[in-house]
Amino acid sequence: MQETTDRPRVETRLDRGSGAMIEIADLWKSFGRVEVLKGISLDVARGGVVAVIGPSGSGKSTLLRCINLLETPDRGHIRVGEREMQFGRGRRAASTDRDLAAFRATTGMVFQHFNLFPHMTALANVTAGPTIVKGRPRRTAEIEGRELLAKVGLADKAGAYPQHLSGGQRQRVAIARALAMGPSVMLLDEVTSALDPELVGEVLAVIEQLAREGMTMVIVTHEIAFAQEVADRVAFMSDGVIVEIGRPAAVLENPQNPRTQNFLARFHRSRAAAP
Amino acid sequence: MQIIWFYYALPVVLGIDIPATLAAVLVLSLYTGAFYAEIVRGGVNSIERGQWDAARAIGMRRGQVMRYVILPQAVKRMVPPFMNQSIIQLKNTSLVSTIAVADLLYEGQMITAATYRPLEVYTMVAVIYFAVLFPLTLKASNTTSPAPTDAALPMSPHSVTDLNPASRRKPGPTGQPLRRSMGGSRLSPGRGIE
Repeated sequence: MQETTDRPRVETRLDRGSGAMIEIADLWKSFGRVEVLKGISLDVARGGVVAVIGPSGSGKSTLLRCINLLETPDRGHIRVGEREMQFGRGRRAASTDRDLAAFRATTGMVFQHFNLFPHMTALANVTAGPTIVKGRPRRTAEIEGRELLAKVGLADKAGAYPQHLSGGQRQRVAIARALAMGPSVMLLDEVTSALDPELVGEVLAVIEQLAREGMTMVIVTHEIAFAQEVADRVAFMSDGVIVEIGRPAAVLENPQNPRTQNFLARFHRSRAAAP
Repeated sequence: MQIIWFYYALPVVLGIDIPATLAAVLVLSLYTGAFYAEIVRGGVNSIERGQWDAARAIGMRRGQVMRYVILPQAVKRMVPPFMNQSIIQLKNTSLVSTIAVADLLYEGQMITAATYRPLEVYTMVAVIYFAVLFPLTLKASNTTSPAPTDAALPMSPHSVTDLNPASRRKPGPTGQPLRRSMGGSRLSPGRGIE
């Protein structure tokens, strides 16, 4: 699938009680000669919501994909909950497909293009993880699946196939599918970018509710206003590094770094132009 | 050509004798096996990368992704090219008459040689081929009839039903014609649901 020279080593150990749910230190990743992440460090507190903003190609999505190991970092350190991984020089440890899968099962990811399984109903999409990965009995998985669909406001769409759902409905099914695995963190990758404007609200409402319930989340988004509302910290990424990070009010209203100022100026201008 | 080489040249190389029937079966199997393999490969590769991402993100292992997510979708896309290839293969069987294997065409030639009635004999041969192949062709066209579109699956609209022998091209080793035909066909799982 992907070229990996250094395979990650997954170690399970007790949470050291630092309070941080996600701990990333000095993370590097390159695709061929292009360095996408250049030494990212980021901590997310338990129940914290970090919004990652920044121009296209700044490495936001790659960062998310590294956190749940869909991409293997070149070097660096990642801890999510109780699972810890170290990548890089000399760390050529045997990490099996099974370990990686177990790790990913504890992190929920929602994608820009939904990536629902088109040959399954909404309910089957949601129950696929619990039944196939966790081996839960179908009956209990379906009861829980229906509850999750109800939670995202789609109780009546359990039997519908993805192609008969609107974009907003699909994305809410995708969120329910991720939640079905009982993840300790949720990674949201531009989940509203592919939606029609009038459908964005229903998806953001679900995410807001998750934040209120104390779900730890990393949200890559272009919705600056939403970031301001739901996140307790905002990180601005540019060119593979986190240029600025802090409270939303500080970063978004009063950015210190010129690159952040430049990026946000466009947004503020367009907001000022709006009625 | 492959048939002739297998029957006449290979025995010289290996120093063994291959019965004509065995040579015919061997060649047709290898030949069509290559194309079937390409259909399977193309079918699996035609599934979007996002499906892998999503399945792995909820913790599925490679084998599980293949079994529960990729193959159910890929097999549906494989059916039409698979049927096309099978029909082509059935027609290819007539080639074994070149090494004197007693297939339909070969028997026809024998009868013609004995009776000097080519018109009746070859007409009959053609009718038999038609009778066998036409229903299959219809079935294949049925399978490829347009299904409800799915915006989540951006696919090419090319049709697969190219059963006209005149336009039949031998797909190159790159499998280009096959891949082109991959996208067009799909049986929607949701047909008739609404």
